[in-house]
Amino acid sequence: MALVGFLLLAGAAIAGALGVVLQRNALYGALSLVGVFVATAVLYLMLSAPFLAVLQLIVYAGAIMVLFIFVIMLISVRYEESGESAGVPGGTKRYTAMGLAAVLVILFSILSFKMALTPSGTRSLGGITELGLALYQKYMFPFEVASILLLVAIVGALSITRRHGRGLEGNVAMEKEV
Amino acid sequence: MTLGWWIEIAVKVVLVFFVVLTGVAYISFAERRILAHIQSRIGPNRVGPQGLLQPAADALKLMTKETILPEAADKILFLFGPVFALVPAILAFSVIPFGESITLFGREIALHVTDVNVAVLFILALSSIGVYGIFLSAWASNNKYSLVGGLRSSAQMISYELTMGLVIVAVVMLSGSFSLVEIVHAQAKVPFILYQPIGFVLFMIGALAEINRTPFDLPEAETELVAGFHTEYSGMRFAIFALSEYANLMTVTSLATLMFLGGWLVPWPSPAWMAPIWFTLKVFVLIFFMMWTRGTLPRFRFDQLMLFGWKVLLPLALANIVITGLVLALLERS
Repeated sequence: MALVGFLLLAGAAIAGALGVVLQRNALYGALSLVGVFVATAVLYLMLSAPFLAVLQLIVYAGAIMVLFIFVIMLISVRYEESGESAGVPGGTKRYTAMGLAAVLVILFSILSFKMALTPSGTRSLGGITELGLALYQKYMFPFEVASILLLVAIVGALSITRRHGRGLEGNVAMEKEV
Repeated sequence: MTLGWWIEIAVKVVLVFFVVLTGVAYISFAERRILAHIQSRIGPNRVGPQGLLQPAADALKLMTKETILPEAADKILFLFGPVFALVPAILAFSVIPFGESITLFGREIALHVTDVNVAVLFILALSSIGVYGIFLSAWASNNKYSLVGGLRSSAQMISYELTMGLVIVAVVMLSGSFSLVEIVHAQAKVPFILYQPIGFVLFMIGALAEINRTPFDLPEAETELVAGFHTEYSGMRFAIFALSEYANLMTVTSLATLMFLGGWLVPWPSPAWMAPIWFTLKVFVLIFFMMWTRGTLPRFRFDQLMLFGWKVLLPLALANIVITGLVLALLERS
């Protein structure tokens, strides 16, 4: 039962990932990525990590991908325009990509062997209580540092993109133009 | 996982599905009658006694109508878009509890399909997935009114989801659990609306915006956008949008009932089988309130909507969390 579920979900995730790379239409590519996120979320659920699964849905599928698709829709790249980039890249590009892929495969197989050796199911990683305790007690300082870092990034992005001489009203006017 | 377990789950799923779809049909009917009453009209009263068979007639009509496929539309997404809107809307009911457990045929049956310990977050996640249905259909229609409607809708849903999420944080701080059953149990003495009056108001405003209802129905503002994201849709696919909209209405009002009004609990003793009835009554009060707002309030302007969401609701929700946390910490110390 669990194996069938895993195979189905893993298959869906891999198919989605292939879709991201192979789709010509940028919007379909983005949607395939959403499919990958949803499939991995359900995988997390099967590994009894419901909190992680829901976060995956809210953050990746719900927030980040929505922004991606927003951008794709607004600049309306319907289909890949030029035929030049369609072919297989030659020379160094090709070998670099193949080398990187080989490194990834090796790394993943080592990692999954390591994981398989440690007994699974003895400790609960995905429980919301454990996660909360770990974040707010053991890793309190790194957690706060990370959140301040994110805040700084937001403020920085705003101050860079905001046009000088145009206040908030300018931004509102831009929204109206959209 | 015995056979009995499978049968129980299957029966519950079918039952919830049936209740949601019938509920949705009759909420749409109730809305037409109530709005008509507010506007001094009569409303649909021809089909059956008091027009009670109107939803059936509507369903027949919509199912037999032709699906018009616009020439310039993205075919696949246009046809599947409404499905993305409906599935999350109905899926949300899998985690909504209607009461405690009852004993039936010698089995103890819990009155919910499943009680996951992250139920509240699960519903939030589903509502953020629901955005896809709207704006994929909008984009696939290849119509500027649809696109503007879809953009407005997603911008508004993302902004107001934040407020709703922060209000939920305060509720979870009070109850100490993300499970909806536990949240209701935590209100055995006092419903959270008394502890969180501001939270409740913020949640209801956020909910109105989240499900695109007046005064936040800009995505389908007919005076400027024809019908917004579903301008190009007809027949059953149009009906699916209506269905998912009313299903979402049921979800947010159920969530508000569970988190603020004590769910199925009532201050007087009542048998376990009465629980779903109390729950439904509370939900219907909230739904009526939302219809009332629709009949009363005019529509926001889009920039007003954004400013209101980000500059009024969000700071209030943050302050609500801080105050709740402070009070809880002080109580714990004393």
